[in-house]
Amino acid sequence: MISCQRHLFDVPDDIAYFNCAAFSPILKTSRDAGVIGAAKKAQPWRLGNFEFEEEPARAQTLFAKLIGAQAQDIAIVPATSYGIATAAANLPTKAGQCIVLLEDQYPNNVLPWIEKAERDGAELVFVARGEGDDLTAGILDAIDERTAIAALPHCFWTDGTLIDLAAIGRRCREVNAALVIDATQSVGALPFDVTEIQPDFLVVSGYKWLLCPYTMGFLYVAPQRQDGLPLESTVRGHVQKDGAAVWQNGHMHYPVGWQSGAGRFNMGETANLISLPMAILALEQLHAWDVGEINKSLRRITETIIERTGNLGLTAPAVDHRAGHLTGLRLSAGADERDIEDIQQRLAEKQVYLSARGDSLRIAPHLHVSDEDIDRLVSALADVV
Amino acid sequence: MIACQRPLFDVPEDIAFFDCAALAPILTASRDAGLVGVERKVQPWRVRSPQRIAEPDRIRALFAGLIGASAQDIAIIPAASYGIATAAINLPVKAGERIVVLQDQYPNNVLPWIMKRAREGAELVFVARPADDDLTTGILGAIDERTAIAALPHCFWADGTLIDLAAVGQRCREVGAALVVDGTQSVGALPFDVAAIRPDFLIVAGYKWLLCPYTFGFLYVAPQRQGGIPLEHSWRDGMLEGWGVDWRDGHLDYPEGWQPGAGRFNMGETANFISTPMAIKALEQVQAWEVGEINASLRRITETIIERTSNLGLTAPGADHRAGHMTGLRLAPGAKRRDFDDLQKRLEDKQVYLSVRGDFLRIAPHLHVNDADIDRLVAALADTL
Repeated sequence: MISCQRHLFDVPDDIAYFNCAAFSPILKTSRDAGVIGAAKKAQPWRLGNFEFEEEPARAQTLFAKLIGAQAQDIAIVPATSYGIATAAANLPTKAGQCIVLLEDQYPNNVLPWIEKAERDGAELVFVARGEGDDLTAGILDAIDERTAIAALPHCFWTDGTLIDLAAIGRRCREVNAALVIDATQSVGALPFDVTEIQPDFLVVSGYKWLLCPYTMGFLYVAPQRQDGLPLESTVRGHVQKDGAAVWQNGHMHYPVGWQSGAGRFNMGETANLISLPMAILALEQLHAWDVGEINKSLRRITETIIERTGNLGLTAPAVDHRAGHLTGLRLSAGADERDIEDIQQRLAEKQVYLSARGDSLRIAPHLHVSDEDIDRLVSALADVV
Repeated sequence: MIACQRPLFDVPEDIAFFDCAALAPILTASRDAGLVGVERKVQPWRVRSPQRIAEPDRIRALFAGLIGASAQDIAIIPAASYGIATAAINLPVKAGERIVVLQDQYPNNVLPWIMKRAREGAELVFVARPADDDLTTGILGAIDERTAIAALPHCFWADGTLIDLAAVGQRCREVGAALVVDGTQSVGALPFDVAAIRPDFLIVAGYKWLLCPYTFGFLYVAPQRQGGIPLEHSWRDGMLEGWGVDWRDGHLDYPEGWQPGAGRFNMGETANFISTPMAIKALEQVQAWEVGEINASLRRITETIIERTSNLGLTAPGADHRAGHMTGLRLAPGAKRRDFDDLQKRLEDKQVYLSVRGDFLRIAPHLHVNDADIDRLVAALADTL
């Protein structure tokens, strides 16, 4: 169990921030790296191999280690939508085949499949939430020989309901379906192992559970998918020693082959001078804490809140299906989304921050949260619910 | 004519920096905006949704103002490769049709067309440079009824040889060809008017002549092309107008339409908290200086250098074909190529920065350059050649 790490963040005592599933606060060390990064291009003659080669490679290595992958399996992307678009462009579907999703799944992992289904004549299967918050059984049931792709998260975005992705990965392989994971709401705070789950593509936006800046994300591409086509044709994505344009005998020589590994899937201008050093420090800290330990420590926080708000008529997902780092408290029947948004607003006035998502008050702490924050959240909820 | 603007940059007196066609220095105002931007996600509860919409809207309007377009014709993209890829998927070609590019053109605007040739059977026509540096005549001669796309810059990237894009645009419209312009080496330092040139797509990476941070660029999409398909299906950045999550009757309401104008082509996580305010400061300054004035002022610098180095056996593009803001000096015929070997490094040792690109010694100043820098460059060239 990791004790409160408030000293590593810049969150004042009067702020109770439980909104990391929207935007997590960055670490002070990341901020300091960003301050250096923001000044770097004021003196561009000082930039070189370190910024353009070593830092992207370091970020790829750190992210790979978080999910049990190799650095060469990782591409740097600006956003989840970029990674899902890459997956969608490389997973052909035929008319009559199915793409399996969750009902009310986060749109970035739904919209590209709606478009693909329309274009290819595939069918979308939205799995409804089953009894007792068991999402896994419904998904396993929906995946069959007609399934081309299962496009899923590791936990549900509004309330952290957990999905057993290892079981789903096995089922996908049995029926030859591809598995595309949007792990934006889990990787960094919930252990993920690509050797166990074996996704074809895994996409993570960094600004939530990776404590990264906005517009900084990662794409894992399974080795058997690495010969696919990237969205962009960058010079660096092609076979070339140093990424610089090559002149030979007085003329430009254009590379013809792609780099091996997932490097071809990197976004253009990968080497963000500001965001990459910030991300590197964030990922180093996650490794120092250890993701399993992070999950346990955040679980203690969410379980405490669930327990102490039980008497307010709020219900959390069933105890067997909680991701731990993130939870959603549902209001008693009869409440609608306006009530929930009103609660969010009134909590924000008390400097208690969380999100209203669907029928849930989403509670998403990180290690900056102190016991006093929990007390303030519980008493604020008692006041406004 | 604009006087030297060194006080707005952080370039020490002993640095003579003529490498803006590689990476331009950012303004100290942009750096300071970046420092504020870095702080934002330290305390994410202070980031307000309207800010996330207002800043991208502001930068789109500023860029549009530079090229005579409307804000809604502009998308925010990470890199030139992203914009060219967007153009390439929206411009179908048939087997036997032609794509016209320049010989030795910058790879970002060649590689996607090489791929298109491989996939769709189009033919690639590389227009060679004539002895008199008149690229325009060659391009006009190459564009005919078989041409589907002309993919060109406004000036040649290694030496600033100018292309008359208004004439090329007119020719394209005569034969029904699309015009895709990579304006990365010109927009911001050479006037560009979409009403005169009428490109279908114009792509500009910001880190050179727009004085923007790295990984920040712009895509202009002509109104008649705005019904196209973007690379990503970004919920918030391409589809929704605003940041609200729509729930209806307890379920998530997925948006069906796209944002109006070119908004659908925005990259995912468009609202980069750090880079966007930096870019806003840069484009505000570029507009305050005025692009025509920037060009006239940089032209004075490059012309002075051309004149003062002519006795070293260096030649610039023909006087009628100079973009002005940058130039490339070539060794006179008969001079030994090895004179260029390590030249860039030897100049760097004297803290004089420029790029050697093929046969060209590329000189790319901005308004931080002062007369002492010009003297140092000329003296260093006389010493090292």
